[in-house]
This record gives sequence, structure tokens and C-alpha cells, in this order.
Amino acid sequence: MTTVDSRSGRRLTARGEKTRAKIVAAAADLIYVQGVGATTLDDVLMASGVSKSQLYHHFAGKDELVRAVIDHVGERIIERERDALGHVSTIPGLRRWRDALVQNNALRHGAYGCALGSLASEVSDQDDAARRAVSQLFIEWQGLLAGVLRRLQDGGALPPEASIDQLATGLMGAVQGGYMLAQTARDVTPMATSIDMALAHIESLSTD
Amino acid sequence: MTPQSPYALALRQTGDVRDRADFLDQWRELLAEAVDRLLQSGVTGGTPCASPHGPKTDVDAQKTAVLILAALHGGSTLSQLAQDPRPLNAALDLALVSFVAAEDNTAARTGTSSSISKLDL
Repeated sequence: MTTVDSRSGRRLTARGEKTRAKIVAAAADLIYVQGVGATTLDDVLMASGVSKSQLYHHFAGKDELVRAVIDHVGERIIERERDALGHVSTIPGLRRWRDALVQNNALRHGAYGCALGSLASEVSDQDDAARRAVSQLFIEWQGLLAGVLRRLQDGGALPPEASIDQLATGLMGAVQGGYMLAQTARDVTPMATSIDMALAHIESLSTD
Repeated sequence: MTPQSPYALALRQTGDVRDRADFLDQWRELLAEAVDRLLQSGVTGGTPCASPHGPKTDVDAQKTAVLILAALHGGSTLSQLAQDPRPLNAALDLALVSFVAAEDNTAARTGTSSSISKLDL
């Protein structure tokens, strides 16, 4: 696979690609732990071990690097969620998805929240291109949730009059809010509770 | 409520983590007390006094308070991101509709938008 450098428009050599990936991975880790605002290009240089000229060869500045991090994080999360939700068509299946999310976050006592959700709160009033990119990723994620709910409805587990998009939007909010409460409390419990309550409501709509 | 309301702003991830955690704990406690009062008084439309089963015991006020707070938090972040009030409305509807049931039975049953989130919360 060859990547076209966003800055120069040139195709990257294998080595250039590796350097770029190293910079983006280091920046993504730093941003996950300390946020966009607190992460400087010097931090990224130090963490990735690349030279300043290498970094500026690939990225004009911080905004461009942040956008590459959004793509990187987004790709990872959408892939994870597609694997986890793509074939779910039952309430127990939805609960297993919830268990995996909570378990993953419990490993860090909820410390860092959702990588995509944290980006959302930071880029919203900073950089409009970044905001739109993150927003698009959330539309994709929510689409996967809506797909599950639609399959539940097709299978008769949800009444035909249930508004799937409204429920998927509400569930996404409960998931993200749960992550944020867990992050503040340094405890995964509020996240588990929030998703459980949202799923319980969805289950209560069940026709039987 | 809009994403720019003081409540949504209060939930932004700024300031000292411990202060914010204390603040959210107190807020959750107030919400839980309010949910509890609503359930006891029967104004949620569940008519607990007339019901042979007494107050709606299947609703956990503490857990409902966590969901309401999460809905505010997550919904306002997503609304701000999308520059669209719908995520916050949908999240609050989901959180509130589960116990404010009978008043607007259609909304509760279908998950369609109700009037609840338009309350001056």
C-alpha cells in the first residue's frame, strides 16, 4: 500500500510511510492521554524519536497532524465497532458489545475515555475541518448502531413504530456521556450504568 | 435546552478533575432526589397510588440519575460537534422517557421525540 502525502501530494516511499506512521501513532497516544490542547509538536518529536525536519516534511503544523490523528483513531474505532456490531441482531448480542466496551475501558479505570469522544469535545470550537471529520466518524459509528436496531426491528424485537435513528442517536449519547463520566470519576461504573440503562429502555420497547 | 446552555457548558471537560468529579457527584445526587420525588408523587404518569403494585419500584433513581447526567454530557458534546440540537434531544429523550412514561405514551413506546426534552431542565 502506498500513501499519498497530504502535504506534498507525492507518493511516499516505504521509509517515508513508516516515519509518517510513527509520528501519527506517537501523536495519537499523546493526545489520547493528555488531550489536543496540551500536546505540543515538541512532545511528538520526543515521543516518536523523529527529527524536526522529518516531522515538517510530512506535516505543515499541528492542525495537519491533528487531522491525521483523527483519521488514524477514527479508522481504528470504526473497524473495531464494525467487527463488534456488524452482525449483531439480538439484544444479547448488543449486551456483549456493551460488555466489551466496558471491559476495555475498565483496564484503565476509565481514565482516558473514548479516543474519538475526547477529540470531539476538543476540536468542536477549534478547527472546522477537524470538527467535520470527527462528526463524519460519529455518523458512521451511529450508523452501525442503527443497523443493529433495524435488524432487531426486522426480527420483531422492536415494534415497527420505533424510531430507529432517534434511538441510535440517544444510545450514542449515553455511550459517550458514560465514557466522560467514567473519565472524570476515574471509575468505569458510571459508563456501565449509563449504557445498561439505555439498553434496558430499548429492551423495554420490545413488543412481547 | 441547547448545546450552549449553562448546563451543557458546565459539563465541559475543563478544570480540576477532582473538583469536577465532586461537582458531578452532587449534581447526580440532586437528580436522583428529583427522580425519587417524581416517582413517589406519581406525577410521572405511572399513577403509583392507584396501582396495586404501589410506586414504580422497577425504576432505580440513582441509576436513572447517572443516565440523565450521561445523556446531558454525551448529548451536548455530540450536538456541539454536529452543530445540531438533535443528539442532545435524543439522548435526553432516551434518558427521561423511560420513567416519565404514561404522560406521553406514544413517545415512550416508540422512542420518538417527546416534549420532555423541551422542559426547561
